[in-house]
Amino acid sequence: MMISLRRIAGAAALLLPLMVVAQVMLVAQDRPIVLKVSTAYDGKGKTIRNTTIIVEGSKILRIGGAVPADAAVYDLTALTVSPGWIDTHSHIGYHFGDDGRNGGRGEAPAHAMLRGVDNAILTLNAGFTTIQSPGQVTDKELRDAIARGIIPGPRILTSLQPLMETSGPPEKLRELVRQRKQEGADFIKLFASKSIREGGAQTMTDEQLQAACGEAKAIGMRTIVHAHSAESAKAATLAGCTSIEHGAYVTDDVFALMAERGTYYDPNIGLVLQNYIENKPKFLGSGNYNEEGFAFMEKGLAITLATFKKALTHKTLKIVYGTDAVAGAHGRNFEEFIVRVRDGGQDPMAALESATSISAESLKMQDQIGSLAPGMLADIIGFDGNPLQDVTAARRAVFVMKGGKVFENRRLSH
Amino acid sequence: MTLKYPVLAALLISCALAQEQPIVLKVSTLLDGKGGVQHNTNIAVEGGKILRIDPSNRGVTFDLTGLTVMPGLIDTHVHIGSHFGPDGKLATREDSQASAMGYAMENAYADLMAGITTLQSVGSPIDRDVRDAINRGVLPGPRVLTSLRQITDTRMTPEQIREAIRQLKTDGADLIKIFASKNFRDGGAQTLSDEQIMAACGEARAQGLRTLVHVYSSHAIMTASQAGCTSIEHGTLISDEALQSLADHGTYFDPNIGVVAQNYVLNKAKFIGVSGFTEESLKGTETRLIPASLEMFKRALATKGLKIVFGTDAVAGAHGRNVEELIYRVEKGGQSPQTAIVSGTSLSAESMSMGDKIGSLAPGMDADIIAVDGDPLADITALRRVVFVMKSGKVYKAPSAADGRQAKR
Repeated sequence: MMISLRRIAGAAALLLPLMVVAQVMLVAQDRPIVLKVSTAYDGKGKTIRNTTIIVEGSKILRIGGAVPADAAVYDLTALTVSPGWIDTHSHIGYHFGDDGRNGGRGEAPAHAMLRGVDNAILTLNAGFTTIQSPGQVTDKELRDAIARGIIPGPRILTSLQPLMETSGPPEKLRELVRQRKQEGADFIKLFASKSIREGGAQTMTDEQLQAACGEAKAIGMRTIVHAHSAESAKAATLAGCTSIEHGAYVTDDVFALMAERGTYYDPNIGLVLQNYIENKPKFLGSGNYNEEGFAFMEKGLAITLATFKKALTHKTLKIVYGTDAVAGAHGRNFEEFIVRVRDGGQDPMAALESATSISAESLKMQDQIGSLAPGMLADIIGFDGNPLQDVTAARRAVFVMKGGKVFENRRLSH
Repeated sequence: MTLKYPVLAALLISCALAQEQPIVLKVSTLLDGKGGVQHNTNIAVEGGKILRIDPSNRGVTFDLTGLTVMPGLIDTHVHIGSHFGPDGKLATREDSQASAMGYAMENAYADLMAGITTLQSVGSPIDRDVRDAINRGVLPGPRVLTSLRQITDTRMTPEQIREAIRQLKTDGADLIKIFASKNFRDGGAQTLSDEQIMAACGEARAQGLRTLVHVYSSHAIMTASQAGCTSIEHGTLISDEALQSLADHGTYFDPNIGVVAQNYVLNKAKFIGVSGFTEESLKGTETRLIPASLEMFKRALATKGLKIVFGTDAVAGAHGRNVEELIYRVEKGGQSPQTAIVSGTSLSAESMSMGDKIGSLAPGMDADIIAVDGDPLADITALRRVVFVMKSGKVYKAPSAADGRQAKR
């Protein structure tokens, strides 16, 4: 008995309930794959309409043109298609432990690994096909396991252990940067200021920053720098560091300097603080997560939003998409987009580009990910609804393809 | 503005929505796992269980017509932590525990995608971590049962063995794994004494735990079946008398003839030089063990009342190819496809004392359901083409409209 595609499609139309299908692995992996799209954003500001995306192996072969005879065809015309989104700042290993409390650190590495896999799967399910984790030593095994291609999860870049003011004098920092590269780090993470809970003042000296970022640059490594105060952000920018993270108190003159230098800005205004506040009992009592710290974070919501709006006025400043996701946040990485557009006033297309091509460029991976074009890796997602018209659609990535492999294809209710 | 979403919000909310209405699988051919075949019906799944099998079920969620729907397969003997390392060879020591975890999860995932919805790993502490991770509901994987460790030390007194078993129960083992023989390549002689075997299986029974016994020697096999051990593993040199003893005592038999040895031979280069494997010993595997196992299996098939279950002894290289065991038993061993499928589903479930939950398709059973492209009763190799995997009512693999699959009839 032959089964016609039409009959299957007809049966598919009968599908009524909204089905959650966890990590569905679709079967047609060896043949070319064709995605029929009605609306697709290429990640670089362009809208592609009513065409097909041909995927062969792990890459996009072409957009439009003849459909290969033996291709597996996915009809995504009811969805809004985009390159897979990128989170440039997600602590992929951080999780709540068995006791329900913040347990990302000090736990047995093997258990951390298992929790990390959960986080990775939730992140991929949310439409994020690449993340940068700044970072911890155990990121490495998680990155490598996912890269072997069997366990689902996003591509992971990791800094391994971050460096900070106590890591040593400038010469020692240079040595540590070289060491991280040898250990297999994809980039370097620096803590150049205190946390927002503590007021954010500069901690690493200018000389330390120059040594760390200078050495990294010399050996081809990027540097992302946690810097809240304007002073610390300025010092890091002048030191040639690649990206400024958080930057709650950065001022116009420093943004202007960053824009001039091509230093990226990663604001994190839509998920990190909100997540801490929502999950307060689970964080309270560990480290500087005390009542005072939480009070600061509540105020921080307005501060970071105001700083983001300020950043937006600098038209050539390159803003990337990072959430600073920790325990409780993984899988909700889309909330950042919603707050940036709805509350921050960012143009939705610009916000999408930030989450795709601009973040890809900040990772020096713009030739592989972050846009829909021939030759790019087939990291392609589809939303139920259009995030550029209704920001909440960002929560509904129902189709997720990474490297040409379909990981999620949820049935929609009509 | 506070966000209302708790952790896993999207998944949980959608799960709740999905549970309001049953999931309905439209089926043209169904094997119930107990020898029965049904045609043109629907399976309604709710709350992780099979609600009803009835043509009148409404609202089809998955159209599985043209495929053969059956219970998820149950592999009673795997080693979930076993893997090839970064150097491509069998990893006998780990770079790190976390790394070992990554490989174990891969094996579990590969097994699930190959239609194995329950597996028994015998056994390593890592099994429990993988089991717990899967039970959290995010990482896709089969149900995992584990022996945690093995009873193998011949220097233990019977009382020490009993104590070890009580400790295993406290530690959360689902079953007891016992080594009562040397490996086949070392001659297969009995290692634990009769007294030790009886102590082990007796105490396990007293503790309500099942026992799986790795054994080749016929004498040891008979001792084991008399001692009330639950299942005999491997048994390549088993005599007809010992086979009959198993049948008489209701002891299960898990012969492993189609994957484990073939996998060693297939992946020779990855095993040689590691953990006792040599070119010569693998030659022996190819020329002696494999034919001997096949010959033994045919005699086992001819033993009336003998309950043969499905186990692969899957190690590195074999995870995801578990069905080759059933295919080999049918194609080379002469077992009927229906009997092989029953052994891989309801009979294995029964051997694990889980026959009231898994291993067959009937109202009230856990919804562990797979579908293969083709008719395994006509062509057992259809088991290689698992296109739908549901476990506890959650779908992990599904054919889409894109699949263009055609049923082979």
